[in-house]
Amino acid sequence: MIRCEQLKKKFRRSTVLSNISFQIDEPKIIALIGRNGTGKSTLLRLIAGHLKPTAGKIEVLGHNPFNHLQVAANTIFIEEHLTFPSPFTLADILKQGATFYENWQQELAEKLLAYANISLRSYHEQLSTGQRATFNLVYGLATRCTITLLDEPMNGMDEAIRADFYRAILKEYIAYPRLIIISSHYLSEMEHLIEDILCIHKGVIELHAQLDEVQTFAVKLRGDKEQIAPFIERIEVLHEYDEAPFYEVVVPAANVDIEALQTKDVFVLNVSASEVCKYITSEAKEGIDHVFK
Amino acid sequence: MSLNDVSIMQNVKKQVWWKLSSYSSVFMTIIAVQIMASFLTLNGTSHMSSGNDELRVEVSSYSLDSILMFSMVTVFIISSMLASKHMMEENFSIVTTRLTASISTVVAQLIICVIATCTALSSFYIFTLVMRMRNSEEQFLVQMAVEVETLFLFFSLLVVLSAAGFLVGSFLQMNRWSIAIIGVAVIIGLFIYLVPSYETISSQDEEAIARIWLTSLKCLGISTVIYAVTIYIRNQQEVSRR
Repeated sequence: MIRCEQLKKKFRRSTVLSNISFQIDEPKIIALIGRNGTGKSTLLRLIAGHLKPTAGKIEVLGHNPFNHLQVAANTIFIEEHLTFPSPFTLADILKQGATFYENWQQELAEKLLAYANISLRSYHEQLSTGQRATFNLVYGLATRCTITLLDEPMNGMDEAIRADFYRAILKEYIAYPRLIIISSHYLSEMEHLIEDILCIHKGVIELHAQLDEVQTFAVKLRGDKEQIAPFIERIEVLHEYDEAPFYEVVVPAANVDIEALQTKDVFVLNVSASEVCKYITSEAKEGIDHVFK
Repeated sequence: MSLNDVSIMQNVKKQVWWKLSSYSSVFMTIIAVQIMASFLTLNGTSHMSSGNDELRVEVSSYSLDSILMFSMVTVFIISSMLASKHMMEENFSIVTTRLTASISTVVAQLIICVIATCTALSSFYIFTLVMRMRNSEEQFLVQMAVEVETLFLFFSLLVVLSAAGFLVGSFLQMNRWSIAIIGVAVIIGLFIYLVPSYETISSQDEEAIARIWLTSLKCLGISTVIYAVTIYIRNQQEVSRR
């Protein structure tokens, strides 16, 4: 469905994406994770055909998405800055959406907006940030496009509505399976609905794996520093917290002898996918504590 | 999973309707400007009178020129606005490509020009009749009809300005002032090229009529070239909603 090969995107002198290669072949829900300014939105805009790659190759549904009508008809890109003509009420926007998108779900859109207490007589510009985000997400789901790209769709929504709309995404996906890529900083909130994680760091794909692989990728070792040290001498440490008497490190699970560690009174704890992404994209192993040393 | 297939023609048709319904206020603006032009310039009235103690003859000529000038400026501004970054961003909230977005904008602009020509003619007649009704003296109507070739020239000139506005708007979107200046220079050049022919519009002989048709065709030819260049430029432009 999507194939990127050595994709590069520069804006004047600034390189946002330097070497992106990945392939997605089937409908699933994927979380696109990365720190601020690492190029998540740029990647989504390249997939949507809004931007042209500086180098490399991108194929969406077998075509270059830049200026391809079939790709456009089967792709929806929802982001915070989505705009609609100002004379249109939300009802007008939905009515127009029905004329452009063949799989349009009018009833679903109306029900979801009613649930979120958003009047169809409102104007898009007049909605609050959270309501606008909700409307944009509803619009994106109602299109039932084969490729649905959601760029930080929950920004501005309150916690309750975020939980509801994560559920709405999942239910819609079950009803009509499609490729949904969600770029978000709230990975922990959506771990229950995603299947894969695509993590970008410094313009490259740092991690592309299934959720369960990421969840078992690393372990946190907590205990006496002297006892832990011999086990981590020759392995990569993803995160370290050393504030005596507390000591903990996060290391790749595959590289440590967990059974041996447990016999030494060392706690071996699971690390969530969200934490794994945070550690592998961190600049300093010690985190922000490093700044205060 | 089956994919939706859309033809360029279908997509353009839907977008034209979408654009006309989203910017319906444009038509009201044009009508308002034309009515204002009629009032401000009294339909470009020129008077010629002569007489003696017993008889006084006054000949009033009404012209579409002032309405044309105001309409041209309005159409230019509207077309450059339709090429703005904001409009491009809005366009990408529906199924579109740069090509279909540009073609549909051109079609919408042509429709605006047709409507502007019709409303110009209507406001011209309405205002002329109002002027004549206000005058209580005996009147003779020498000629009231506007010739087809005049209307066609009116429409063609609007199309040129519309194309020029679209080009300038697209250049400005690239945020390169130097290119915008070149665009404006091209438009001024066009006027210098077109205006000598346009001066013949008041003549009534066959040669003059032929020149009017020729000027109109020149205008449409130039518009086609400008539109083609603009569509090519817009086809390369990226969309960023930030």
